[in-house]
Amino acid sequence: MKSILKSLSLIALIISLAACHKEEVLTLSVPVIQSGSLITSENLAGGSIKGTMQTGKTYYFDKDITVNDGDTLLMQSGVTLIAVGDGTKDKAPQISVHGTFISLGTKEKPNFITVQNAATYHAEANTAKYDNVFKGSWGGIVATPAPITAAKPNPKGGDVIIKWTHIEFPGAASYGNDAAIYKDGDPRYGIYFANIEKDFILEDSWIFGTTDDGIRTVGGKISIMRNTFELCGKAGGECFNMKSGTVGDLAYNMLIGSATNALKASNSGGTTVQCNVNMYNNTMVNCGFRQTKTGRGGSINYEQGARGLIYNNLIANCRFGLRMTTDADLTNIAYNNQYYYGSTATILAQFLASDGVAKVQTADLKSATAKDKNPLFFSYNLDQYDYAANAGPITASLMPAYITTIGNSNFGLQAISPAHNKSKTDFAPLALVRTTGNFGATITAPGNDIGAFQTDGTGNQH
Amino acid sequence: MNLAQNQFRFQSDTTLNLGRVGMGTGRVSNNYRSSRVVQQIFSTNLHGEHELADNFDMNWSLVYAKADANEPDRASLSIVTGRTAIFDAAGNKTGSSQNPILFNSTGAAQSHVWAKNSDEDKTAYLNFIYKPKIADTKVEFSFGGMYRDKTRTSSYDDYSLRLSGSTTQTYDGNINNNTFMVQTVGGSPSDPLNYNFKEKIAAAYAQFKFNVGKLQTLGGVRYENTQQDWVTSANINQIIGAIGSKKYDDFLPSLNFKYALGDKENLRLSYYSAISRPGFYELIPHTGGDPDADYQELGNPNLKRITSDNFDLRYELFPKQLDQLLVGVFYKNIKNPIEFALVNQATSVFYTAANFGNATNYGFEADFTKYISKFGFRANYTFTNSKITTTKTVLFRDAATTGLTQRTEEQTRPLQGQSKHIGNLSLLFKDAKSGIDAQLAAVYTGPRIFTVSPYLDNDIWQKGTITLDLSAEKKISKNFSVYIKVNNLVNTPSELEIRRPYQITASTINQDVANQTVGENVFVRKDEYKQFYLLGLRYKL
Repeated sequence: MKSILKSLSLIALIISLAACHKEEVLTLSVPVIQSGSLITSENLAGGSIKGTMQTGKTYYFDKDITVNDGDTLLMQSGVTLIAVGDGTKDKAPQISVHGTFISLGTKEKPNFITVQNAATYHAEANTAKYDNVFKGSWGGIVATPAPITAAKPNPKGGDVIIKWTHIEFPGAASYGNDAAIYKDGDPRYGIYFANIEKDFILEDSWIFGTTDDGIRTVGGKISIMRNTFELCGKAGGECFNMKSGTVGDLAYNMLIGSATNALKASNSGGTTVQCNVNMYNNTMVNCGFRQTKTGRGGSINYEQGARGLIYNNLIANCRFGLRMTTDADLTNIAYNNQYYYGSTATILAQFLASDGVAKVQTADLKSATAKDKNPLFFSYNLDQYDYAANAGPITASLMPAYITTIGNSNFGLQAISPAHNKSKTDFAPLALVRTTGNFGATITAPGNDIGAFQTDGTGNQH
Repeated sequence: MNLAQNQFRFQSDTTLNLGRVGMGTGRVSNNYRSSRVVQQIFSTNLHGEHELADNFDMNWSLVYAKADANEPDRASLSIVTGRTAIFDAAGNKTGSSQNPILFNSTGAAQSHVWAKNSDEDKTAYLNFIYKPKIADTKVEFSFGGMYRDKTRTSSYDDYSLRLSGSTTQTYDGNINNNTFMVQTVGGSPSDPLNYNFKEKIAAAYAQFKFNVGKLQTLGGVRYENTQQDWVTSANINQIIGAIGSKKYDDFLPSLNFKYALGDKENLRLSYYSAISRPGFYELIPHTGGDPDADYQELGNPNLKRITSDNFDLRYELFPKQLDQLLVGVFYKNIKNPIEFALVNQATSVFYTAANFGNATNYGFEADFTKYISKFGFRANYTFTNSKITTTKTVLFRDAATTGLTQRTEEQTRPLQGQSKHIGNLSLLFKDAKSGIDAQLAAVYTGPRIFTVSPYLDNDIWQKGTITLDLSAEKKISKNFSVYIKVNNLVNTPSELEIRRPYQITASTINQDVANQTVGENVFVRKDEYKQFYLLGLRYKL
């Protein structure tokens, strides 16, 4: 009988060696991808769509629309796309792009992505009533790679190509939209682009009235040329905010009345591609005054390992001038030929933001005293608003329309402007995007005059 | 049982790079938070024992437990301000000016969170014990099963309020002087923290025990079937794992040999296989939720259970009653240990529970207790060599392109939370006559990784600590006794650091911050908890 015990022990030993942990059977819900349906009506159904919006027509969407991986949504010239919403829950549609989005407006027939009350909101903005401008009526455009699926384990997203297009009044609060990007209640950006291997081309377009950042990129090859940005950010937010993985050029943009910076680059986000962006020949006016937090910029910012070339920018009456924080990639930043104008001593004192490390450069032009060295825009009075009485932060309602929007002003340079022929032109844009064909970018090289508008008629065409 | 907790917290943070040009300048954010949490715990059980035959017994238990936590209004207020440096014409800092005290106008100025969760646990146990005699040896067979049904229901609603009207309203200490609007009128109905989680575990086991001569053998196997299901109210088109389920089976054998070397000494050899399941909360794919966390939390629905094979060899000596000496070695092979780590996602850093691979822990332990008259002395020490190899990121400047880039490297380190050295020393006093029982204990916990970093040589370590606790009990009558406990007598702080020397570089030149010493480990955080006193009266029926 002892053998029974022995065999028991033996069995136990064998069992011990047979410890067995079965692989977990994990079932997680994944996004339901419906195949994109072709556009057949001017009232776009929600869900996945693809195809062409035809010239001259007006289209409407009141639910989120998605462009699937591999699909293209194209707007021909003269198309108006109306987001039907008021920014409240379930009434704030967004355009989610996992494929390619193209808006091919032209100078003669620009496109619009706007809201039904656009005319009213513009009229309100003209009388310094910004509640509707900043409330965020729709969700904006979010261009990211599609969710990972077994069939497409490594989605890359697609290109976004926008020419001669007005994008107006996005920024509605998120309710479970893209939890990786927004918390519930966060305002959405006008355009969010995060396709690190793809092109984002924005040319000759207008961004008007966004609750937070007008545009944010977290990776991508960009060419941002000759655009106009007005009223970006209610009380915080940039016109164009770039993070790690973003490489390319921003030039000849006219940026007015942003809450914080006009342009900001940071390598935060830890992609393998360093944020490397050139900013040249941009004109920035009245930026940075709505930001309520200490330690933010008001025109151009380079932070946290971002690099690039910064030349020929005209920075007039911005709360802070060029700001390079101590952690920017100072080894690889080159800057010069900036034109700073300030109508008050306070603005003058921050031509080089005091918490940054940027220094005066040999070819910089700047006001020596308040109101000195006016750049002499064609028709704009830089000294009309009393920045001495309102040094910032300023709430939007106290900002007259003439400091937040272009209106009838002309930011081209008078023939006698000191900004003439003061540019550095012996450097080249990165030019990383496609430049051929209808969809390619038109890259304008550095111009002779500081700022976005060139005497020879090149540069910003607005 | 009912527990209510009221908390008020004020936190003032200065950022080290925004607006900062040395001590006394920079952005300051002030956060005020108040909350009340009411918890209710209830449990009951029913137990039965039956003698089915002379050598065949059966027992069973039914256990029911319910716990609720209700946090009706976690209110917080976010204030921003700062001090800006003033420079003279030559660029020298001459002072600083106070910026206005404003409300956060980019995120929520105020938020009100309502959170409620309820856990229910129903468990049934059934055990049979059969004690036959085989070959004149008493053998004990036991077998049985367990079924546990656990559910959690969690609700979470976050209302964020923004300023209405002017975005530059100043805060004067009374928010009634300011105007707000609710930004998220609908709350946060699609937050994944609105979830139901069910876990069903069915287990069966069989084991035997017998002595042959000086050898006692205890062996058996346990089978566990786990089925977990969860449903969150998150949008399934936005969050992978908004709905999920997980099931797995485990066969968990164990075998123990105890060999009596003498009357008072034994040698033990044991093997067992074990599992450890992640918490429900860690699995739910949520973002945020813990207002005290330094980083936002991220749930991880892919989190796997920990499985381990454990081997132990131990020598035991019991020279007298209460006195003992234990010496042993152990080896553990741990698959998919769960560690708390920081991860990068989009442009933020999150805190999450994750599996990074397999680990081995081996070491030895010794435990010694000796009484001389009424005084006793107890010491134990465990040495653990813990190893796991994981991939870390290295940020560096490429010499050829001069650009900033990154590569990965493998790094071997101890498991998060595992100290190499753990020891404790206790002085004991026991006197039956006067009814006094007292203990002074010093516990040493060696340095351990507190949070795993995604970057090489950048893990956050908790420094080694020695804590001193005192407890005493005195019997004052047959039924009554008084007791006192004083924990953390010497106010041992919890200190976190990164094990690389703090340096002043171009990018930290403006930080000028307290508690950092050039050349010493980077200081991360220090918490002091002070002493904790407990005075009690015990009544025994």
